[in-house]
Amino acid sequence: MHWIAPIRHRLRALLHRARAEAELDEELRFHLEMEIEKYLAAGLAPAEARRRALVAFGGVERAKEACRDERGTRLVEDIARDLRYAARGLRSSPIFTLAVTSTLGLGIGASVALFSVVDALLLRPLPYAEPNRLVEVWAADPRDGGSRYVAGEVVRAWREEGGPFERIFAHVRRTVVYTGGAEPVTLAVQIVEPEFEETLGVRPFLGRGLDAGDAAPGC
Amino acid sequence: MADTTTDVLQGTLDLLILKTLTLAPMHGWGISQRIQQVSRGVLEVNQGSLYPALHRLERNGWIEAEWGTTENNRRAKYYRLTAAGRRALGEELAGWRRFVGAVELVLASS
Repeated sequence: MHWIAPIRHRLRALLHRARAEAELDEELRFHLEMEIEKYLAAGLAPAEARRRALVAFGGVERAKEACRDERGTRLVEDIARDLRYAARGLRSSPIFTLAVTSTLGLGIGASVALFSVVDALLLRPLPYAEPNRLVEVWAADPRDGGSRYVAGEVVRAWREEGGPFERIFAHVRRTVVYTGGAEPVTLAVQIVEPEFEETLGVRPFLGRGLDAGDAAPGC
Repeated sequence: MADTTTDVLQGTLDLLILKTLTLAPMHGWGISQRIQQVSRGVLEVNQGSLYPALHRLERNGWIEAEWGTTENNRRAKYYRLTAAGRRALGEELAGWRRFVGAVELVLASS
C-alpha cells in the first residue's frame, strides 16, 4: 500500500502550501548559511564566502523549483493558479462576464428543461410491469379510417372468451366534480375496469384498489 | 576539498541518503557533509539535487521530517528513516550490488 503515503503527502502539501513554501525557504537558507560558515572558517572574506556558497549550491531558485516538482502537487497547484488568474480577468470586465454567463445560463437551462421533458415522456420506459408488451388498442372506423374507442362489450368478450391479449382493461377519460371537500373541485379522472391493476402490474399507494365488485353495473 | 567532483546518479543518491540516515536523524547539511567525509571527499553531493531527493523520499514515506534545533540553537529540518525506508534501503542495496556486479562482469570480459 505504498501509494497511500504519496497521496497523503500531496494532500497535506496542498492544504498547507504557504507553510510548505516557508519551510522550504528556511531549510535551504539554513544549508546556505552553514556552507558560508564553512568557507568563513576556512579563512575567506564574507563576500567571497557567500559567492562560493551560492555557486556550490548550484542555483537556489532552481533547487526550490525541483523541490516543488517533487512535492507532486504541481498539476493541482498550476490549475488552481490558472483558475485564479481567469477569475481576476473576468472580474475586470464585468459586462463581458455578464453576457457570457447569461448566454451560458439560458442555453444550459433550456437544454436541461427540454431534455427533462423528453426523458420523462419518451425515453424512460413506462413505470409498469413489462412495458414493452403494453399496447393501446383503438378501433378503426370503416367510414373514414379514424380511431374510435373499442366498445366495452368487445373488451369483455376478448377477456372472457379469449382474444389476442393476455390481459386487457378498458379506460376512458372523464372530467368530474368532486364535492367531498370544502369546495367543489373539478378533477380529470380515468374511469377504469378493475383489471387495470393486474394488467399494468401496479398497486395503489394509498387506499384500496378496485375489485370485481366495483365493476358491477350501476355503481 | 577534493579535486574531483562526481555527480551522483539519482537512484544512487537515494541509496546514499537512506544509508546515511541509518546512523541517526540528520538535516540536509549534515547528510551532505557526512557523505563527503565518508567518501573521503570523492562524492560531493550537488545541493541542487540533494533537497529534491530528500523531498521525494519524504513523499514516498521512506523518510519523515521534523523541525529541531542544532547545537548552535538554529532551526533545521531533521530527517529520519521510517520502517518502510529501512525496507526500501535493503532492496536498493541489493539492486546496487547486482548492478555493480553486472558492470564488473562486462568490464572483466572485454
